[in-house]
Amino acid sequence: MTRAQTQSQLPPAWNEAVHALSEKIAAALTPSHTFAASVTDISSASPVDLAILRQTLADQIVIRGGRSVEDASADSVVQVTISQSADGFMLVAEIHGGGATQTAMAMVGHLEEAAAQPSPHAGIERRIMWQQSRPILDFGAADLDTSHTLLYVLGADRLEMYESSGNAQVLHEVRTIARLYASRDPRGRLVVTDATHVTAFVGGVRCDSQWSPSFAIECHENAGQQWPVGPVSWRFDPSRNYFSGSMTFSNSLEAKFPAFYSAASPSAETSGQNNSRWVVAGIDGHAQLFEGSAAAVATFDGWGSDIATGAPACGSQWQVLVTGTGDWTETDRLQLYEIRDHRAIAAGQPLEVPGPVLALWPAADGKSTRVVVRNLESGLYEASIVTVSCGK
Amino acid sequence: MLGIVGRADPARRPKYGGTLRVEIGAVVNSPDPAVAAANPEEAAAKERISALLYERRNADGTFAGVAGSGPFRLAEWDPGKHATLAANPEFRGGRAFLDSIEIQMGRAARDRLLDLEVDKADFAEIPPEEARRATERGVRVSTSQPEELLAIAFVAGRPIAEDARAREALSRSIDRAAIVNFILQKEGEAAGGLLPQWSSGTAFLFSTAVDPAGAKSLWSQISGSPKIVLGYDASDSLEQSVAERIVVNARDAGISVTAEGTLAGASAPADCDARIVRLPMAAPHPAVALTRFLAVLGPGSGIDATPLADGTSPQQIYDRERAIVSGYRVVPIVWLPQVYGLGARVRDWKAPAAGEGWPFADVWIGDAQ
Repeated sequence: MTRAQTQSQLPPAWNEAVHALSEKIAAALTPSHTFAASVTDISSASPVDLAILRQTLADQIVIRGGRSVEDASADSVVQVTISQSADGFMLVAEIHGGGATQTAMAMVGHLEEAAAQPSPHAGIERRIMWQQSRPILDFGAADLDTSHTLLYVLGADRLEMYESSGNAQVLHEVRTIARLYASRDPRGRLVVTDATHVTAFVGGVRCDSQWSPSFAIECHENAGQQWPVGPVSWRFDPSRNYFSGSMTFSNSLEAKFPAFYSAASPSAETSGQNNSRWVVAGIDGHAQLFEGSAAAVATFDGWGSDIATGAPACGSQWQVLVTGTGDWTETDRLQLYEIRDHRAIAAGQPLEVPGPVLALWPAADGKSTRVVVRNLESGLYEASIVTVSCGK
Repeated sequence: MLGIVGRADPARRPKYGGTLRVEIGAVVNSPDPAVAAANPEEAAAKERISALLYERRNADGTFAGVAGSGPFRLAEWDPGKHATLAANPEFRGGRAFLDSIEIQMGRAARDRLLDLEVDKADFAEIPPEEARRATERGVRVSTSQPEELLAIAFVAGRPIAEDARAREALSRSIDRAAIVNFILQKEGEAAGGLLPQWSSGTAFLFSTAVDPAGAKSLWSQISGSPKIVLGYDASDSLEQSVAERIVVNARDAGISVTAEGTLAGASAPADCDARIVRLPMAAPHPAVALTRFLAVLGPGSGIDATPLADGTSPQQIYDRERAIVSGYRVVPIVWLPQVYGLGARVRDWKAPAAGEGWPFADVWIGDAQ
């Protein structure tokens, strides 16, 4: 294995750490400069191959004048440990030689810097579009042209816009949003009309942004706290984390449901003549089905607080994507239910996700769902698209 | 941290409302940070309560602003007995999910455990050595990372404490693994350095092995009939158990040690050569934690208490730690976690990091199982 090959197989931050450590080790070697290196890992989950790291380190020390030999004949024995501190991964070298032990250390670049990149597809049904350490409330993407896509990411007090072309993503714009209300479970919604027109609903304000010709955003108090969700507007309580239960339809009619975290109604393809059906995931922990009257016709227990109508591609029945139960210290799951004859029938296997689902919104095209997950292992917020495939 | 033991309510998104019932062992006489606490236990509890009442802290750890600017406001205060905190709807970080917190003070560890078992309490701190028993009794337990160091601090100026061979001999004689396994019931870690592995990343470089032969050899070099008097807080059963264990270990190495209990809050007796100290970490970052340790230990133990500068490298932190440990004026024994007992209806509980207060602003109440 050549040096170029081994170095190219270590992540850049680890290469830098190995480079820095090798300088310190080389300076500490005994005059004969012969050494034998070994590597152990006591960290929880370092993402590197130990053999490659050892070889890269040995190569770097040799470049600096060291001579790599077998253990028995080495004057210096270099024991490198991959460890982890409150600041992240670190390499710790114990250099035994000449009757003394010296130590040398090098920090590996921070997790956030190393991982805050878009990831490749995470599976057939959930595709991660973006991940970052700052909370994501909602996101939306639109094609600018055939080769450029704009990704809008909404946080509790900021709207970011990234431009992607091929595999490259560039932070294009950041705008601070002066929210009027704070919540410990902040929620927000993005409505992407097209690539250059986006509206954000967050913190009690409505922010309309557009390119004309530069990126401009205008925020004002969201009178009535109405959030448009398809053809309907839901009234949000901006100091809490739920909707009041009041819905306003496009014909200005209003309907009143119990206060809810989320709600779903069948798409036009599956609703037929009956478009008054709603399932609301209430703040009392119960999901209830309404069919045009104030009284629920069915209650579905065991559902989580976030639901959205699934793609109508799977048969003609109304399907609802539902989060799991528990709290935010646990992983989550997405289960598809078919609503039939006032019953909710689980369809297929649930999709396990590596942390709580924090946002679940039907995409404007009706074919997918926007899902924000906080990955409990990495600590990153993942903006992802979930598509429902029949037969899964 | 241990996971949550089952649940019945389906809501995943936090729910508003409800009262959290908290029981603590400390007796807190005044919520005013300016009023001095009578003992370390009261000081710790008072700091945790204050962290709920104040919006933020100054760099020196004192609380900034006015009481009630935090996620909760003080609604009732019965000195030393009971407190009620109500959610502050104006809190800059957003209203807490809970409506209120009821704090019962002066509850013994045994009573706290019992109340958790019979659902009379939602939250209580549990001594680490009781964690296993609590779990066996069905109490939901959450354990933090090891964040409190139990150590021996020699008293500067005492003749035996000024003998480096005596200090090293005592350190080598201690069977730290046995203390972790038998006294702490495996809820803790043997400590060779001043910082835990998760914080510094270098704790593995410090030996925690017991070496009675080496201890005996060092002790035999000391002329006369040397003896070490080891002080501990008589009201702290863990300190007492550890002190007694150290006496046994030392005796096995031929070292003469006697343990003497002192009353909580009282200064160590004049004839103490060393004392057992508890050193909670002020922050997760190793430089901050080590600086605070040095500030606490320095005056009485004769170590260099110069604060570590901002931007101190891991190598510099390690070198400083190594220099202190190698002097044996402070002898690390074990790392202790914070252990919390939780009621079945507590949701979104995350054990606080070192130096953080109780995260009650983000906790919410679900249905009981």
